[in-house]
Amino acid sequence: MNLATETCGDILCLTVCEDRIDAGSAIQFKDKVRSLTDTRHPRVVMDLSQVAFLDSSGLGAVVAAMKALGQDRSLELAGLTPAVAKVFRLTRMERVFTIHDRIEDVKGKDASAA
Amino acid sequence: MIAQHAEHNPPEATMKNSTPPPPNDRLALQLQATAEEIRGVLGKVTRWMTAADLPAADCDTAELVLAELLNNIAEHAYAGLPPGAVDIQLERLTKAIKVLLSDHGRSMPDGRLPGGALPDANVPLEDLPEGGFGWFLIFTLTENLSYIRSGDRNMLRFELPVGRNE
Repeated sequence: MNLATETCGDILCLTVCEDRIDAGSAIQFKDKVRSLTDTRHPRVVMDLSQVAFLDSSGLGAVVAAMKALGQDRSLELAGLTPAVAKVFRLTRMERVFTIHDRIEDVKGKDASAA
Repeated sequence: MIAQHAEHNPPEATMKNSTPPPPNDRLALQLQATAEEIRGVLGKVTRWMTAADLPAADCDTAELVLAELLNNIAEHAYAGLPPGAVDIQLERLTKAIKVLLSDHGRSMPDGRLPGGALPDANVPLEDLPEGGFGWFLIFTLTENLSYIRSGDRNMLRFELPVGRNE
């Protein structure tokens, strides 16, 4: 499970460099995200633009990652591919997360605010 | 020796060529219910659907539904057992793909399909559901879903709508 991190001001950008988050990788994903987000950034934005497939186990792992951040920090998502967006839409989890079209939108906003 | 072999080869080759190619409106696959083999089979199904010129959204749906069902078989029907075999048969109809999945793992609880209610997301953060989405997705994305226990086999039949996107 390959994830890359980058700090943009207050935001921790977490890029998932995998084409799937599925039953075979969900636990690994959850553990890796948990260790990489063990920081003080109030906002974590996860770039899912390379993820072409996410099943219910993958969805559960993303929800678990948000819960692990607690009340005072947020997990936002960016760059959902059509198949991944569909899973969030059907399960109504799209209402639970703040979802950005592209990670660049988040980085750009932060840069202009600074 | 070599020349003799060469003489024998042509009729054999002709016979092979005269065998009609398997119809590409059907696909039959078998796998062991492991995460790795499930991924492999999903790739094969997606390539078969793409080759049939089906829309990408239909391929995505088929991959998701089959992933959910195959993972259920691996995690529940064969739970605590060595990974067992699963047979998949797909048949292309005009507006759907007809699917039969069979395995010889444990029966579904009470011998029937589980409920497919969507877990409630309108709850405090710490109570958000991390599971229970699988059957909801399966029921939502399939038609005519049925389950029977036949002898020592589980048989799931359903259809995946194709080419009907709004």
